[in-house]
Amino acid sequence: MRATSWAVAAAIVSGAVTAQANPFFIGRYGGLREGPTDTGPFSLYWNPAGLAVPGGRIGLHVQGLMRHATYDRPAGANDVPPEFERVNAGKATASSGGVVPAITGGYGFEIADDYVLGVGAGFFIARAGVVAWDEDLAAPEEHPGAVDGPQRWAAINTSLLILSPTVGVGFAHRPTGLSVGLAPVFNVVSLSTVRARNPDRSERLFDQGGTLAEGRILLDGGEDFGVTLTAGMRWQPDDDLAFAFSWVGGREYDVRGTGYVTFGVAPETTADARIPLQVPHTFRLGADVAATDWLVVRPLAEYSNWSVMDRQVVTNVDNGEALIIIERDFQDTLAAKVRFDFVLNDRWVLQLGGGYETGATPPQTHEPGLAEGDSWHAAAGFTVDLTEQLKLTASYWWHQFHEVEVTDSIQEPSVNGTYTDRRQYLTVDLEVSL
Amino acid sequence: MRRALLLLMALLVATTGCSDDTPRSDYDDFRERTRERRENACIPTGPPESRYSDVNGRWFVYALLATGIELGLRVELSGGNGTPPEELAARFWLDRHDPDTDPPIAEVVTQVDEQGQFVLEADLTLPADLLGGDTDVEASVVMDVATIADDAWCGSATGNVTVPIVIDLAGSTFYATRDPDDRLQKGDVPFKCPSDDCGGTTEPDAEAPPVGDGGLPLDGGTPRPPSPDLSDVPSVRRDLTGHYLFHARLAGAVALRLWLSILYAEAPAPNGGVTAFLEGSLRREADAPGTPPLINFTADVGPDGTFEIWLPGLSLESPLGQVNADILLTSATLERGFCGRANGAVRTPIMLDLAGTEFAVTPWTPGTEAPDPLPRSCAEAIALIEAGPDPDAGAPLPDAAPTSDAGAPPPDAGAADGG
Repeated sequence: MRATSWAVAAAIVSGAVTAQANPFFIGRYGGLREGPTDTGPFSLYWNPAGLAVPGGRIGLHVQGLMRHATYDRPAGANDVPPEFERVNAGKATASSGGVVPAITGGYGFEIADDYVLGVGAGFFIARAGVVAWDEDLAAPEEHPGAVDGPQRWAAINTSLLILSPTVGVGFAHRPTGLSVGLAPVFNVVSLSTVRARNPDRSERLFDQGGTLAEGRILLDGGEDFGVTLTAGMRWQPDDDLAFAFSWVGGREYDVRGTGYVTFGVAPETTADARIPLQVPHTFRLGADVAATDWLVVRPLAEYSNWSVMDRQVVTNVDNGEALIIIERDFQDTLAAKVRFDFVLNDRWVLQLGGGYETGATPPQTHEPGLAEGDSWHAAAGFTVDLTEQLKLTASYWWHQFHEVEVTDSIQEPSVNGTYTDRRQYLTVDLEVSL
Repeated sequence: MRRALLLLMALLVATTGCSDDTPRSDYDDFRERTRERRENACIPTGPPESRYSDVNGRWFVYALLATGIELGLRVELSGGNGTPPEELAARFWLDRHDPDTDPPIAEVVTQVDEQGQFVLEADLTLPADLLGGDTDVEASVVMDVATIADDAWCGSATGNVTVPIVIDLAGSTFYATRDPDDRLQKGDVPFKCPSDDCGGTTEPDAEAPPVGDGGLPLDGGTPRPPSPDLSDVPSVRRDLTGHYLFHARLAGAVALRLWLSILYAEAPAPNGGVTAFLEGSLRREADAPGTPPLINFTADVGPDGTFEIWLPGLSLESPLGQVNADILLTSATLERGFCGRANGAVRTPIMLDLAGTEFAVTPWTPGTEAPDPLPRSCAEAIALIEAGPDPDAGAPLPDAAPTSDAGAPPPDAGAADGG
């Protein structure tokens, strides 16, 4: 009989889903040219209304990202007895990096003199997270689970990927400067995660007989597929002014995978598990304002209804039983950003940007890897026309999260303590005009 | 197609320096690190030697299920005629239930054979909060029972947890003792048969000392010192079940007082007669009922009532600081409590050779004032007994049973060598 583990999906949600800010959002397409007013090739992602530009374009995007997070788990705040302080308390660190590519292409057809019909297609990874907490190789041998660090009861290693092949169409009415667009997004979700777990949600290392009690839950090969929509409109009344609004549709994914469960010295159990993975709707509002011949100011606002993730219930695929209920209590998030484009000459544009985002996760449900407190970022970049057909855009971002002090964790085992998180992004975009 | 895309993109999303560090690899690494512990895990092969005894009545059962789940049950056996083979009706309650008012969670019928063996096969539904989960747990449990004394039966359990996840319960153990007044709690009794080596004897790594409750080493490789001579102390085997206050002055320098809980039981010997054993636990004198013990131990009790308790790696706080010691207690059973002499050494905060140290244990009700006077040697204890009646007779174990939550380890045979 196949069954599922009650903690399989718990691990998913608590570890993987929470691996990134605005949880697991990593989209930086076009560098600091990002946003709903963009008319570059990556408008397919930001706002398909931007596809309605004459001619053909191909965009290549590569993003390198580095993350450094820490979680300091005090023994006293988490009821860790003195004899287990060495293995269930202390500071954990996660330093991870990755390279995320994307590619898109499109073509705009002029229809008569007043209309442009643009089409595009591309591959994006807008949401992904790879978090592997550093191992404690000096952990005592008699505690074999401690190698995975004091945060292991919430997260050890998570890999989440949402691959989003997208096609889109945009339509522009030149006399009014108004354009609209629509893009179906075909999302393929992949999720694997592992965490320490005991059946009673404790963090006991040994049972009353001195036998190993600490266990592990692995969800391997979790997958789902779902179609979402992205739609937007853009209005450019003249060359110096543009407004845009876009909606990136959300969805609740039904991630199913195989759970591998090892509880203490009991035989391994495998199981089919399902867990909902809520991804919110995101609304973006932006403007391009050419203040002078050499300066364009681009304010952006972003709203995501993360409150859709109020709780997650992991169920047994075989019998439909609720295996674990995870309270999330996520909050909607807001982000305010501003970009400054300094037009240096016909070829070079220097870009500066900054912004502030509210976090989705309240302190009581904060967990290691769940670095979703409020944050700010600062970034700098440039765009250069290498040739008439080739444009290069690059940017560097520093994304700093506020230190989070959790004292009322409702997770079990509790994860009170101090969290820090910072991320850096380096983006390179090549735009080829056909 | 979808998998091909995922594979392609996963390759593209190469994680710098972490390409071989995946959730799967971390899981496999853990299983490899703990492989020997699983392979060496003790699976009870069957019940111990059993003899028939009338087991009608109310019992408290403490079970340690595989995966470390503790379970306290109240079981009522009835309908027997006291002559084997006999059929008994068994009704189960959770330890937090009142059998006099609450409905049982399971009712089964069993046959007790001439050797006092019987099987309890029950489907149990355990409330979610009992085990710390989010949903009720359903389990099919088969308890293979041996009657080891008039007031004790024990054995091993098999079966499966079926909901919400399948867990093989092989390796589970239990111990039952009479509890007509429903006063016992988990931690007041052992969780396995006295003859069962399982529980605390797993030695996963020859180089790493095995670890018992609370991280205390079971035997850190410390050589056992010679047994002190007790031939001058009169000793008679008696039921020592109860709570005591242990009092000693280590090497005549360091005062030590501890709360000692003892559960005494007798069982038929293979060659006739009776063998006796005890399970015990040590706590600080000031610990509240329910506090997990510092260490658990077992000891075989000789026909003359003498026994030895070997406590290697004992670690406890004292007014002088953290005391770490390896202590052998050689004991003689007195009319009230027991006394004896110690050997071994205190390693910190100061080095003390314990040779010549004497001690005595006095019946005591935890949470109350210590008896006065409080003997700390056999001579003082014997003199006190000869001087008059028991100054503190109110300390039987059920009356002052330390209520134990899920985190309170019971007396554990694995914590010390019974000697």
